[in-house]
Amino acid sequence: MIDTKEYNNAVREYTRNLFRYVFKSLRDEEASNDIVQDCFLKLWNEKEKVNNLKIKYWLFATAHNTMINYLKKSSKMVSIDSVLYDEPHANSKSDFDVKEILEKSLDTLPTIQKTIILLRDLEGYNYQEIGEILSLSEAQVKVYLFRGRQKIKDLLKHLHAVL
Amino acid sequence: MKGLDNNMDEVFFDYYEGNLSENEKTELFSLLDDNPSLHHDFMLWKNAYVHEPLPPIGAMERSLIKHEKWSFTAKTYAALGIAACAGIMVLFWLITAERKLDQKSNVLNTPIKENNEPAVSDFSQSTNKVILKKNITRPTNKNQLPSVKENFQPRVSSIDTVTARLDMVKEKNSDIVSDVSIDTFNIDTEPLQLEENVIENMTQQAMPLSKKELKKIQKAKERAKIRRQEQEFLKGDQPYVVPIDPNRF
Repeated sequence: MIDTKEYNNAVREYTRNLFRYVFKSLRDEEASNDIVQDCFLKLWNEKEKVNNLKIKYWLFATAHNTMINYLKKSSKMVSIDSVLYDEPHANSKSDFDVKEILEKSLDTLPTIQKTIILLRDLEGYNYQEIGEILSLSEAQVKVYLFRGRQKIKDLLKHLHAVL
Repeated sequence: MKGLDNNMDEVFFDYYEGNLSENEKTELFSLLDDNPSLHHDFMLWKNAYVHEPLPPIGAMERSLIKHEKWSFTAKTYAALGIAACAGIMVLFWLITAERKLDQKSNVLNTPIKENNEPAVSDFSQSTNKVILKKNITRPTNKNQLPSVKENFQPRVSSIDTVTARLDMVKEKNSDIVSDVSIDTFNIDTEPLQLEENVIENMTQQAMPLSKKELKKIQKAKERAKIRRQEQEFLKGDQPYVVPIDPNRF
């Protein structure tokens, strides 16, 4: 159970992290705001059920599930072709930006791999914590993480070869 | 590190994830030194990590904050505090009330001292004190009057004596009933006749009046004098003459 003070502390501590995580996944500011607000609304409504020591996990797990539902509803899946070959400035070497390519490569990954990479890189969660959030084992998390990073590395390597 | 050549991606991944021991790291770096072609993949793995700063604090964060209400514990503490204050006040009131009761009981329980002498002396019981008018300092001539007016003091016109009965209880002797005289002073604040004349003269001096006004005042005085005589007559100081009823005859 959490009280108002703990809830407010969670808002101050995790709102920006949660928004960054959701925005990185969706690339939609409005939808990200909605999901973050929805998460905190659910937290407030279920404050008597939530363990105060696991607020952050609960928030990220809720955000992940809400995000999945949002993607299912909007069918907002990005194909690798649209990312790598349809963008006009990807052909120009002067516009080449590792960060931008990385973000677009992230969008090509399956949601689970992308989510794990974001939780690992942005929030610094270990495999166990990611497993708790996404209801996966540590080994599964590690495998998904490795596959996701390998795909990104391959895409970066491919782009380097093309450019 | 087994099969380095075949699983270089796994090794690089483990290195960047921090899963390699110090020996494995040393082995990896010696391998990279020996094979410069692996450097490119090594750097690509480094670039596969996402770095993103936190966004600034927005309006959303402020809107999500809930205003804290009094928690149950805070309410409990407040109620306890109020109850404690009320208790202290009640205790203080009880202590003061008890002290007052003690004082009263002390007075009631104090034994009355025996005294054979009467509370009021015989002389004072039998004497009726009457201050006559002649004893009161009065102005004898006009020159004294202004100073009397300035230092005006109420005059005691008469003193009435009331005799009361005082019952005194004595343990040994029989009851003694004594008469006690109590003097009541009547205060006369009206100016005396001589003073009235002086006040009139002073008002005349202050405000000079015409002859007509003086005549009016004189007439008013005469009327007042007649009225006073009538009142004294009605009081019974003078013999009352029954008026003849003209309708009788």
